[in-house]
Amino acid sequence: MNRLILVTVILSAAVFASPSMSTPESRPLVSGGIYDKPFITNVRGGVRIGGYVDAQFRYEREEGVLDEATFGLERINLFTYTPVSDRVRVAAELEFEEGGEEIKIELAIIDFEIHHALTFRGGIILSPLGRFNLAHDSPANELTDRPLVSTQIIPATLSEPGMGFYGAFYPSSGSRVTYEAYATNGFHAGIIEDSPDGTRFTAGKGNWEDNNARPSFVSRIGVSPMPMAEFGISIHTGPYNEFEVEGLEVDAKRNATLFALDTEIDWRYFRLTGEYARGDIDVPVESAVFQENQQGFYAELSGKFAAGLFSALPGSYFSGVGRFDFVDFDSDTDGDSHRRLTVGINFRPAGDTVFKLDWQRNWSRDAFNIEGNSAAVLFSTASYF
Amino acid sequence: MLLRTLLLSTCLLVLTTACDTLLTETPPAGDDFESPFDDLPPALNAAFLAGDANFERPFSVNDGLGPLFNNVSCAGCHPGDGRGSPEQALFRFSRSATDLALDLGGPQLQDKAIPGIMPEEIPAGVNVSLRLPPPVFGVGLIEAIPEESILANEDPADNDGDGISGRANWVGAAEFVPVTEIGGGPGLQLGRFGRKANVSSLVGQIVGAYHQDMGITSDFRPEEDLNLSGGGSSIGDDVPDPEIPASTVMETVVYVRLLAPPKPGPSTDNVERGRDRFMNSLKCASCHVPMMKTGPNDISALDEVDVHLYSDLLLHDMGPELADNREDGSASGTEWKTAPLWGTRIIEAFLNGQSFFLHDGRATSIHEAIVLHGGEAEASRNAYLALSDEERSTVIDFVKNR
Repeated sequence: MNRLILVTVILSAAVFASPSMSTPESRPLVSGGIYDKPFITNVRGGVRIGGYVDAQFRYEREEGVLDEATFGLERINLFTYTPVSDRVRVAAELEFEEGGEEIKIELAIIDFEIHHALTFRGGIILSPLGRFNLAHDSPANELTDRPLVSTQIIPATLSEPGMGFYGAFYPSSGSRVTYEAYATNGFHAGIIEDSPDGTRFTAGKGNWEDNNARPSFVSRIGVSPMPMAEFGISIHTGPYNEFEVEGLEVDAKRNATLFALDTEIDWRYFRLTGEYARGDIDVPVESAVFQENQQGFYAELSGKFAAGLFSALPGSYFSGVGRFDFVDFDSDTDGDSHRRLTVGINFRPAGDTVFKLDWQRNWSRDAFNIEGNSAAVLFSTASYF
Repeated sequence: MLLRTLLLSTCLLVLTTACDTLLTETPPAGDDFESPFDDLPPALNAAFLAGDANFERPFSVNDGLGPLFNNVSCAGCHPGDGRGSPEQALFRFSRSATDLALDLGGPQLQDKAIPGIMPEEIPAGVNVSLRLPPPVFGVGLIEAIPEESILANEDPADNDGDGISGRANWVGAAEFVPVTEIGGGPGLQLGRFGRKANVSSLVGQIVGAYHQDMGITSDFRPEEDLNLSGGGSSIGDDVPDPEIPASTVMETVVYVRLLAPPKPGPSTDNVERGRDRFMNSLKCASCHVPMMKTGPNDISALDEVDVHLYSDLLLHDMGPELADNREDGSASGTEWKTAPLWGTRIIEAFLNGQSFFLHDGRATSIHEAIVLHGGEAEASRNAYLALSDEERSTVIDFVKNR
């Protein structure tokens, strides 16, 4: 009952907290016009703008033949954050990839904190499917390329229209349990229809208006028994195809489900991260070319060394990192898989800026289980601003 | 500090000196099926690469795949540009040489369909033939061999009395094949391609593969292939026809035309002894003609060059065991074109360690394939079986060295 009263009070405060117009001179030319927006008249703390830049040089060879040697601005992302009131926050992220070839709203959310254990979130959300999808900024990543499982099975960055709740509980002084749970538009039929490679979750993103009028469900629970470690479990499930139109059944209802486990452990100078994901997709049997089960994982270990080596850069340090990636696009057959080993060395002149030098070796197997080899040397720099 | 500097320097030195190892190495020349001829001019190399991309390109439903299809890309049936496995084999069916059962969806069974469409099933009352996808390298050389050179090996009435009576398959070229193309034009043309030499031109082969194998319409064949036995519905393929332009088809034609056959392996005493038996005592070379020569050609790599294909490109009666009892052009139900033997050395590298021979892939070794030879090849087969194990192994080594 007390909580209900609290919610009512907060809602009332938000609704009635409109700007006062104490003098005739302060009255806007046009009510609600360009100089009468809340970010000018009402937002406490103002709008904060930030972002990050990721620039790369890639040298790639396939079967001993030069495949690519190119510079590129992989992405520049702009963040905004606005504390609209004590309990209402708005955040957005606008992403420009491949020199502006792809521009998208990666995040646009309104949070209404009812309690630290219960916050409403609506908008274009970052789907809580594996830890990497939630935290993947280039300056924070130790390697230039993102993990295969987190981009090819879990199609990071996966953001979709949805609404739901998140929150945190603290069972003891050092432990924490977090949750996020949302209803979303889910994937569309591009999962099987848009990619020439067959079933690909990456091709089913962008369901901005639900194609089948049936929401999907995505949720992650994170358990942190102590501050240095967190373990997560998450799921995304729902129908992806249009199976009913104007009350008539036009196709069989097909579900796509992604399940993920993730972990992050920090110990002294070392950090271990990893993620496993599995996708199960109902596919039309008549086509016989679509993969029903996909899975993959990565494990990454990094360690800091030579902190403060340069007196002019007291906050600087180096880090070494190694990661193994594996994805299998068709768990039911041999082949159609990709393994990758990456080792790298990074230099951070400051915590928010990084220079990365990576060597990457790839072993892929096509649908006929024929092996292909490629390798790359990558140099990149990324920084928050 | 010194230790760190030394460590860093060592790492850089290793990286520099081990560049090839760390960044993958090129396979030895001639050890693949997808390389172009050496020393092509840059313009042809560019055309080759454009066609290569087409050949590798898988089609999605929203690219126009289907409504009926067998595979999603050219490379899907010809892994590494070599022959396929039984998994990629397809059925061809017809009532007779002149009745291709078009009213039943013939002459090819498309056993896959895009979502919502029923794939085809083999109808009753037709003749059926299972066909393994053939390798696609070297077809430019086959195309460039003059018609008279191929016909010179014909002996349909076996006038020389050697028991071998090769004959050409004369087939009609599709109307869309330009008359400027070898094998194009009105009237009957010499068949060169396909298991029964039932296709006369590369353009006809490639257009047919796009249309029949992948359900991709082109300027040459802009109409979709429908499942006539399932009501003729094409709902689901909403991509406007034609789905690819003529230029894409021609790029792919140029690509396969410029694919070089792999080089044979190094000669050894065993291989040479096998060659001698193959050529002389076993008389395999009566059909597996070791060498032919191309005629004048605008492309220097195809211009009057020796072609070591080990085939006469003619039809031969291979006996009842290999018969599919399905006529194709003027080929009977027991006749098959002599299969070129090039590329046998590295077949397994592109078939996941396996090898498949004969028109339907039923033989998984050279020995099995030889043993299954019948008809005109029966005498050679029997002569092979009369050899000792050691002697047979030389023949197998020779064939596996191509």
